[in-house]
Amino acid sequence: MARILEFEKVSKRFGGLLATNDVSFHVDEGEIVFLIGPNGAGKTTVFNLITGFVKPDAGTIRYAGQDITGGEPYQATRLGIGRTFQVVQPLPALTVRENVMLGTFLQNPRRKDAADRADQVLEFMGLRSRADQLASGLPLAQRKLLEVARAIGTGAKLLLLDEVMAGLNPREGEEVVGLIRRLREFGITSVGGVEHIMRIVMSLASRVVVLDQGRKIAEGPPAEVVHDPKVVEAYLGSKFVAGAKQ
Amino acid sequence: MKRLPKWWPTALFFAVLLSMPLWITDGYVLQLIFRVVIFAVLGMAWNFIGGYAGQLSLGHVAYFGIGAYAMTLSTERIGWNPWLGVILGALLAAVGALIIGSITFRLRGPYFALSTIAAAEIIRVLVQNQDQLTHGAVGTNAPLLFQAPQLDGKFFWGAVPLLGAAFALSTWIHNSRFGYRLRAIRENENTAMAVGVNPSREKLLALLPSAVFTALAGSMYASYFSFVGPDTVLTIEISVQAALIAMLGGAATVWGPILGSIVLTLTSEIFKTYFEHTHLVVYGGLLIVVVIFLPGGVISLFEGRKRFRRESGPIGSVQG
Amino acid sequence: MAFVQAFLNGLLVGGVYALIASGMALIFGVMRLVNFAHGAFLMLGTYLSYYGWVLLGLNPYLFFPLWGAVLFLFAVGIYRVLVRRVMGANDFLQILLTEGISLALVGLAQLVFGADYRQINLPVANRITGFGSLHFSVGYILSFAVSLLLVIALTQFLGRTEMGRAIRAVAQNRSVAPLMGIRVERVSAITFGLGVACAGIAGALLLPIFWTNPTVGAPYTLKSFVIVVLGGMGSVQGAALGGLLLGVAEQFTAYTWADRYAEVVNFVIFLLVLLFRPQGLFGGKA
Repeated sequence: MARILEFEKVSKRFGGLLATNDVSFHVDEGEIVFLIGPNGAGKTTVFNLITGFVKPDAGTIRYAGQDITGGEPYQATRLGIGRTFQVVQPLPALTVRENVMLGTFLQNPRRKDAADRADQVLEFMGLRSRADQLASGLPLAQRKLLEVARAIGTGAKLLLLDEVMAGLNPREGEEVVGLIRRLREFGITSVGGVEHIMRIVMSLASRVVVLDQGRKIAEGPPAEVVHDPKVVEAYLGSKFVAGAKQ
Repeated sequence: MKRLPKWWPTALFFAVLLSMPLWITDGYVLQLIFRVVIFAVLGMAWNFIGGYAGQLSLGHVAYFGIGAYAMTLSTERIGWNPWLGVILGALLAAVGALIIGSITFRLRGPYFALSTIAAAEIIRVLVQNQDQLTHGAVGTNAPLLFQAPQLDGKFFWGAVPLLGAAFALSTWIHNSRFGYRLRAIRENENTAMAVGVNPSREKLLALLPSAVFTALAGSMYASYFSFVGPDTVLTIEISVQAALIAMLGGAATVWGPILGSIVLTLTSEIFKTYFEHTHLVVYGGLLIVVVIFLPGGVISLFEGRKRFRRESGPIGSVQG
Repeated sequence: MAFVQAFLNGLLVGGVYALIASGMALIFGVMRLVNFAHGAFLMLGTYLSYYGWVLLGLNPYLFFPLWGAVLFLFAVGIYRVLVRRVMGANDFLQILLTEGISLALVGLAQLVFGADYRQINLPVANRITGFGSLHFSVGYILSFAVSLLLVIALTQFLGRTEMGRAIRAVAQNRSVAPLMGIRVERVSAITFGLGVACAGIAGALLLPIFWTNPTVGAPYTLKSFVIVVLGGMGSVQGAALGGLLLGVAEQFTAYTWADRYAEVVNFVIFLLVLLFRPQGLFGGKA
């Protein structure tokens, strides 16, 4: 099984804050790996480091064996890393289809081809009926789906989903879970996710990496990690660790 | 009945334009239409970087002036054929675009706009003060690109093909991957980067033809009026005009700048017959009207406001 | 000695710059709006002052508060009718709107006042004073003094009054301010009025030592923004110091190089600061 992402001993400091502190983890092809941890743990920063929106102070990041440390976001995308943002960022004045076309244009220079491919992706995401609507008019759930559609459209192999479930109701969430399971149909072999909703993490993840205040504190299958006392302490404080002294 | 090809209104428009010197005898009217054409080119050129890519350049007059002065000074000092000077102007404008772009594109929002103003003003002050080279604030005569007789007609036949070329490029950009990438940069640079777009590169690529066409318009304009001077080809008003024409007609559309130039020039002329020195009030008033009531430009009145409002950047867009 | 003269002249004119720039800093800091019409309002201040003296004998150095009040009200009106509508819009539209207002005001001034240059003859302003080999026009000194007093008054107003605190609150966090019971719209209108009044009063104070015509304001818009950037975005104290600095820089350029290149100093400083020290010389956040 190929190692598609290697995140090795990476550190990043913002002024006085060490947002990422010597963190290492990997994603193998075919895995769905979730980054979890309390607020402020630095999860989104990890995604920003991988995709080049933020440059690391130390460490190495490799995608499919290639060193991409400190690269630009557009380079990461062209290599095959797609991402969504925590706060959805559509292109409001363009239609839904045109939004996805911005993704499909990467591999389809001609407009007609880009549009056709975009329609395929929209069909998969259940947004085909809204293809000609302006993105600014979509409700939140659809905007999140659009965000994912756009990332898929780029022909990514590794998809990074940043809190894609936030703001969705359970039914919408289930829909997205179903879609994530079927991402292979579009050539996406591996998924990285940042998530707070444990139910989703438990049902989807093959592996979980736990961050707290910039450090990795645990890693492993979700069922194990959830019972790790270090993890419980990070989320709830030391009082709640079983057997801890008061 | 056979269906006419999609492009017949465009062909008709340009055919009529080209024919005008043959049946319009009033020199004043011909001059008026000439100005509409030249400023439409200016607006279209601005549109590449301002409308599609959403970068509010208020320093485009720099390229206009470079075109005008390159043609004039090369003819005067080196003895070149003025057409060579025009080409020189276009090349220098491209170089200028690379320099100015690489500096100004590092800035965002109002800082970008102000830096483009600063760049153009630096050029104006330098030209104004290098009397030996440029004739300073007084200016000088610009060479004629065509020979008499029938100068009006000949200038017309120089300007309209220029408009045609700008139109063709604009149409291509509008429907191409490049054009969509520019729009993405306009809407949200982060998103653009996330879909594989390199904003710095694309902005420069948009600025190059923008600068070149602006320079060509500047050369043609200066030659027609036989004059260059810092107060005629390097004023910030021309920069504002370029933006206004595109916005007024409809930014990020192909016909917008043409419509905008027609509306602006006609409105200025009408006001001029009643008052002197009104062009500033007209520009200012139209800018205010466009921003508040018609951000999608005049073209949005024809095809449903919502669809075209979007191209100019909606008020209160998602990212703010 | 000429060096010292240039330095002191720079400070004197820099004081007036400080006032203009403080107004711009206020508007930018609170409303995130670059007021491209700032220079035009300054120009209106010069004309108010001009006609006040020529028609009514009102000395600019005494009646500047009146002109400031008139422009304050005018600006609040412009805010409510026009500027309010682009608050929250992207800066593209904001810039075009204030630029449009600028052009319209200058154009109207050309129509109403005519395009010719005007000057006034104020005996007290023309007097020369000095010590040693240094000479200063009393007009410069008066303009400087009044400007500096107003800048100090402005900072006191912002620091100690309730409205001042409200203004600062909106500047820090526009979205949270309403939760504290602050009426952001009202604060914005007042801020715009105050900022414009600063420019207008500066214009009134410049009239006795310079001249006016409808286009006289144009360079001051860019100049005041250069100062705002130099002093650190939105900081009134920073703008005040920046104004003095720029005044000195201009005078030195004129003295060492040539008068005509003093203008270029503005733009070059602007680009240098933005590229290499965007938080300004005195500013905190970038």
